[in-house]
Amino acid sequence: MSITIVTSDNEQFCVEKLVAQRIALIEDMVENAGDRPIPLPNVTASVLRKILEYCEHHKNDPLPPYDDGSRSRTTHISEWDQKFITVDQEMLFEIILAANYLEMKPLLYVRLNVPRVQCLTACNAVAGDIGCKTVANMIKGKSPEEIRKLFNIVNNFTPEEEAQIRKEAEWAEDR
Amino acid sequence: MLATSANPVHRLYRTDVPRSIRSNIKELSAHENRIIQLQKTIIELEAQIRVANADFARNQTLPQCVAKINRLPAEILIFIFELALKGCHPDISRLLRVSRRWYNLILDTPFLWARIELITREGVDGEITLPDESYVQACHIRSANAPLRIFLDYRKFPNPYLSVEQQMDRLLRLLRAEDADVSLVTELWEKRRLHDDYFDEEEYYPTITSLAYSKLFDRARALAKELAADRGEHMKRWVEVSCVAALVPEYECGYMWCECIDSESQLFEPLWWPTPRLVKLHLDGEVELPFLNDYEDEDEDEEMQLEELDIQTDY
Repeated sequence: MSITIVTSDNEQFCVEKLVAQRIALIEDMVENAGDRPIPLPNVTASVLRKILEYCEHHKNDPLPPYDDGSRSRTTHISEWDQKFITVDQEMLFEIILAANYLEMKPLLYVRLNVPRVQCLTACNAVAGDIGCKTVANMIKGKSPEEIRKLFNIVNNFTPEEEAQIRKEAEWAEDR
Repeated sequence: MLATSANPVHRLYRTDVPRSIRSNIKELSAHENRIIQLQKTIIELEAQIRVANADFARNQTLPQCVAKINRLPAEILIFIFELALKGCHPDISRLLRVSRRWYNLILDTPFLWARIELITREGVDGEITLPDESYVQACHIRSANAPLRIFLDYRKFPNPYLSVEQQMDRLLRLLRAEDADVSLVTELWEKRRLHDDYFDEEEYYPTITSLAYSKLFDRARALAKELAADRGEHMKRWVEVSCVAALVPEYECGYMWCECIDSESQLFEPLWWPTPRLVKLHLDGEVELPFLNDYEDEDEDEEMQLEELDIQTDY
């Protein structure tokens, strides 16, 4: 059995139900949609194609267990996932944002009644999770200047503020 | 450019000129003044274009995905920070300095400060370092009342003792710095080394304690005191402790072993306050943590209620 998904740029995807069910938002919508196509107004075709590629590869994996935030998390990424997430920054952040939208986290926060940050780790264990791990690995060990350059972040501190923060944070320098 | 002059035009009229011509001249003057006004506007616009072009050129050097990371919602960015800080938590100070958004986000998230990592790291110059005590203070304050996870990893602690060869190198460096003649010393050293098979054996080591060891030991001891600050108030929030220690040298021989054990006891001595919320414990190496002694009492009520226990003593 398959379902039809329509992206924000009006492209239609015919997806196997087993694959689509990896996406919480779609799983919820399938029940109400009947035979009608499911619209995803916040996801473009190119991003959905990547998300579906991930779901297809992981369709038989057991669903990740609930994580209350105390579970030990690593930044390790499997070989296939690593290859999957080797994309340009534009696509990397689009995948994270789309995974965030498709997982419907705000509703989960309410349902599970747990702190948002802790819950995020539970529901983010899909494509967005490896996206976050990839960004985390890009940040690791870099100086503020290197991070700004990498992500094109504008340094919006005044020189005085920057000096003050540098002074405040001197504590963390190893001795 | 239409004209070089920007001054209004004033004409003197002859009285004998017919009225129609005077009228035309007057009209012409109005047009000329209008042209001058427009020229002024053009000059101003040209200046603005130059400024805009300069900004455009600067912005054009950035790729199209300008600060795409800033589009991420706060909770995702926090999750990324949490992952990025794993194993290098003192680097939180670097993230604070990236931008105003990151600074506010990190300071407003006690959860990110509820992890204290005291890990011996090797600097570029080969020196082994530990964070400053004020790092622990910052984590205590900024984590508010969040449960704390403590990670102590002293695997890179230097050997407490200098070998005879290291002592000799040190002596030669000192002598050379003073421009002293080292020939006699080096000659004796070579002679001794050639004829004494046991000269540089480990049992001769504990004659001098390494300065690097002493310095790092003092820092680690100060950090333990800071962890136990406020009469162990923050230790009540500990939910997880991981301690990997390698203070005891790999060789076992007589009094050195005992001496190292004593040093280690001193190192963790301040940590004797109760840790009632502790649920995860990971110990690797010959580690004696005083706060665990309470749980060894015969009283069953004091028994530790751990969810995860992992103790490895390979020494």
